[in-house]
Amino acid sequence: MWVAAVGAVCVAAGVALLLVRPAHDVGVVPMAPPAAAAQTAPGVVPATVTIRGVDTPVVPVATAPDGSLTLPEQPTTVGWWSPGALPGSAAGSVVLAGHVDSRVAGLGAFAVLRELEVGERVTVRGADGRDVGYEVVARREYRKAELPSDVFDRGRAARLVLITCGGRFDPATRSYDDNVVVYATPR
Amino acid sequence: MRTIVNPDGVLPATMIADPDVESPMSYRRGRIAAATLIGSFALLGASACSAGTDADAPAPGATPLPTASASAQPGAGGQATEAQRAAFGQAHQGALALIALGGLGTNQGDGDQVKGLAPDVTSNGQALDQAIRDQATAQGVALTDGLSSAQQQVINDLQARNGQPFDQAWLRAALDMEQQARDAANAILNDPNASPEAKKAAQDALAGLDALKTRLTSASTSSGAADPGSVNAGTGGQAAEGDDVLPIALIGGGAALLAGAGLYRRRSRA
Repeated sequence: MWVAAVGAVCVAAGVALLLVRPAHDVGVVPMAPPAAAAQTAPGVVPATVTIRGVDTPVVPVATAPDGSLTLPEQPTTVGWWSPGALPGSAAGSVVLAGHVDSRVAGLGAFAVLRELEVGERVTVRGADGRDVGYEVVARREYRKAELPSDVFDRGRAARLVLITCGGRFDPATRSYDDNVVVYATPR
Repeated sequence: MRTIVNPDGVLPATMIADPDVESPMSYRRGRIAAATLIGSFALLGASACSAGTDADAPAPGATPLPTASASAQPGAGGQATEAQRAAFGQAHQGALALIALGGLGTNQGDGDQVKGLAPDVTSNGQALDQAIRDQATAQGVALTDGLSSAQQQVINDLQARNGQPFDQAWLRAALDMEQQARDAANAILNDPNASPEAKKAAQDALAGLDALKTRLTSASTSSGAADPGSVNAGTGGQAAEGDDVLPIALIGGGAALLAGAGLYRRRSRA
């Protein structure tokens, strides 16, 4: 009887581990509207992003005809969604996205997003040399089909949104189940 | 007389003269309709044409969409009330923003779509502003030239871009303005106290805005400015979570123990 009991417990534990998602969500996602007394100085076109002392080049990207966000092929370069807000603007989401890894090049610059904690600093340097500093306030992991559309919102208070992939990997389709999203606010 | 499609403007299609039949009468009729609509917006205290960065978050200093009845009367002596003056001011700012957006598109537009839309945005903004000025003068309202800080931020940010990033952001800004005008027109239609003339003008405006939205949306999509629906950012698998090994081992081991226990029990009975 005890052998059967141990066996049942093992099966139950294994199923539970498969079903329960690891805790990837920390912090509070910033959703405030823009400040009433908005600045008028222009933002900067991003050229690099620095996370944990590592500088990564940034290039403008747009939405592909199939509706997906186009990303630079090299995981060592990240894309700035160019219809979105500029870093340093008074309102809107500045969206930077990059590959977590690639089959050929290995881990990407944004693999670190999975580990970023609330309070960490991120700096975006503009093409004109100006720096815009941010502080991480939240990290979320969403099923890809459930990625909130408002991450691209240009009407909220200024924030930086960093996106990559995460979760389980499907070798057949060579794609991940989830998006990892880090939110940061200007400091 | 054929239906005039408004390619861009905040207010009604009838503001634009038929390019094939340049008729002072049709243009005047359009300006009257626009002025009627503007007057109705003013009476409603609507922020009909204020161009912020989000239709749901009005530009700083802008008042919310109408709450007053369309039958509200001017103040004593026929002078405009504070709410009406504010509405005129916001409409004027919206028209100026439209003119600024059009001019920027003409000067900095990279692709043919923006270069083609921009002059129409400018001319519509100018026509709209003239109608607003005429109405304001008739009601004794003095207008101050100048954009709101939110509108100026949009213009400044656009000026910082060039090439495709400029075109994409310009199209998004134009779509924002279109949405705000649509919200203002729908507010008129949904107001039970709005005059038939105001509702007709709002209906005409919506027809024009529908056509404008179609053109802007098409241009926005083809230029890559539409909101992405998905982000696929990983093909290697090196960063995958490695937590499937343990649960699979537990399930496999547990199943083996259950099978073993079952087999032992059967043999014992035999």
